[in-house]
Amino acid sequence: MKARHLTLLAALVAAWWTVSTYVLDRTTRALLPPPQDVVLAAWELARTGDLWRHLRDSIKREFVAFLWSTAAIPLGIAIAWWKPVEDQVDPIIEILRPVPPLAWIPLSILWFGIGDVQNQFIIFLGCFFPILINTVAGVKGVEGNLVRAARCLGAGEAQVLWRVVLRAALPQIITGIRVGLGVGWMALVAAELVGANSGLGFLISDSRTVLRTDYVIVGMATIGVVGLAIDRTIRTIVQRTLPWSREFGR
Amino acid sequence: MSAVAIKEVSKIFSSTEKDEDSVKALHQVTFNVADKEFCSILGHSGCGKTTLLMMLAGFEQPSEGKILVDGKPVGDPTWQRTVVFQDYALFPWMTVGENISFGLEMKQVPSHKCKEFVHRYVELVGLKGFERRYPHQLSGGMKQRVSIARALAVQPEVLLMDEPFAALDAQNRSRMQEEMGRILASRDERVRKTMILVTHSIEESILLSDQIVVLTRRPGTVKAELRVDLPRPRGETDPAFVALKRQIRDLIHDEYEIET
Repeated sequence: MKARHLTLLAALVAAWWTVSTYVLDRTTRALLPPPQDVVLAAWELARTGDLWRHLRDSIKREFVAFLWSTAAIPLGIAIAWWKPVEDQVDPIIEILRPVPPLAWIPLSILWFGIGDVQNQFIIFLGCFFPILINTVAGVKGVEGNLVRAARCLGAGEAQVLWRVVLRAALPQIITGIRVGLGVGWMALVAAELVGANSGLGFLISDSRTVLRTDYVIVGMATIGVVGLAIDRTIRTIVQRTLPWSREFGR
Repeated sequence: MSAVAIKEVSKIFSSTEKDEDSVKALHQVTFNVADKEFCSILGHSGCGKTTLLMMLAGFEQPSEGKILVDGKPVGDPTWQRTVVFQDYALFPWMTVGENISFGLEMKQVPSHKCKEFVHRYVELVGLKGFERRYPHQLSGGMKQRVSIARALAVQPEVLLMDEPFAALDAQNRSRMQEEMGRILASRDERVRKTMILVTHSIEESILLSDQIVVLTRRPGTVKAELRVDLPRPRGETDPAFVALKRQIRDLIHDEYEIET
């Protein structure tokens, strides 16, 4: 990213500042505080440690839920590899998949109450399906000759799956993880808005009730930055570890 | 001993329900390949020659007839019959060395032995110094060398090759054919295997084979079997070579157009 690519962003921030400072009056300014107030609020939240506490809780939930959702990888391989598994599991997935994770929030609050488990469940749902769908597509897309080559070189079924199919599908599985973590991160914030006592989503909704819009914006900005950071980290890891893959060439 | 016998083999690809949609790829194909000989199966695309090779490897089963190696029917794929594919089928996440040692690891060859084998076969195909490269860093010709080394390193009894040079550009192709011919001529023990090559190139088959089996168009059946007794390494300008080429071309003239 080059500095001149930030021109529009700078212009938008300037517009924000102008609107907030000159267009809004004292009362309505509370709804859109100027950028410098938001920066001050961020500093304040960081200094008191509140920001880090909420951030840590959110990331922890995302991470734990992600670990659970990696179950989608073996399941995806099984679906793509064994027809009877696909026949049985596919209808269930096709029904569950269009249900947005957020639609699970009411039921999950009843099931798990308010707190980590409920939030993790919602994130899990957000992560799970992108990973699953991409794993299935990745495994189905493995070149037939790679599998044949492995077989005629003496690989058994387990070795074919572990050493060839999983590896060959890995770039797409990781694409699924990237998408999944993104969807999960969005679902997390929504889950925290209603079902948590901590986390960035909670920070936003809690600050709203006391009209601290500066805190709300700090929370939103943090969510954006962290989401971007997660995505970039995965891309960097992949480019380092899977140099052969075309999927992450850029 | 690893003589190959193909006895009245037919292959029908039946589509789901309707009978008229099923395709007969091969019809009553019968021929033998003697131990340690090089046999080319020559035919135009769509004549079922690749299907035949896949059945030899054990990836497909004949609809009728039998395929025997050493008198025993061909079962599931095994390292005793390795395949060199037209698209190389190298594992892109493995280096050249790792690709070659893959089959050895599957055979549970101890790792110091693996290294030794990798070294020997990398040398055989002229890729010394490229062991740590990844396939995407190699040219098509080099990839196919790796694929050949990988298939030979496990010491198969039969080496099956499915148009191994067809995807290469003209220059690389003739160079690979020549080199393959030179290696075969050397009777190097590393390549003293029963070899079956599927090709649509008459020259390639004459350059390399002891025996050429010409298939008709679909459903493929044996049109002719020829012995090639020319001294190796063979030159394409040799009058005997040219005569044989003409003979084969005449043989298949009424069958289809074939690349010469």
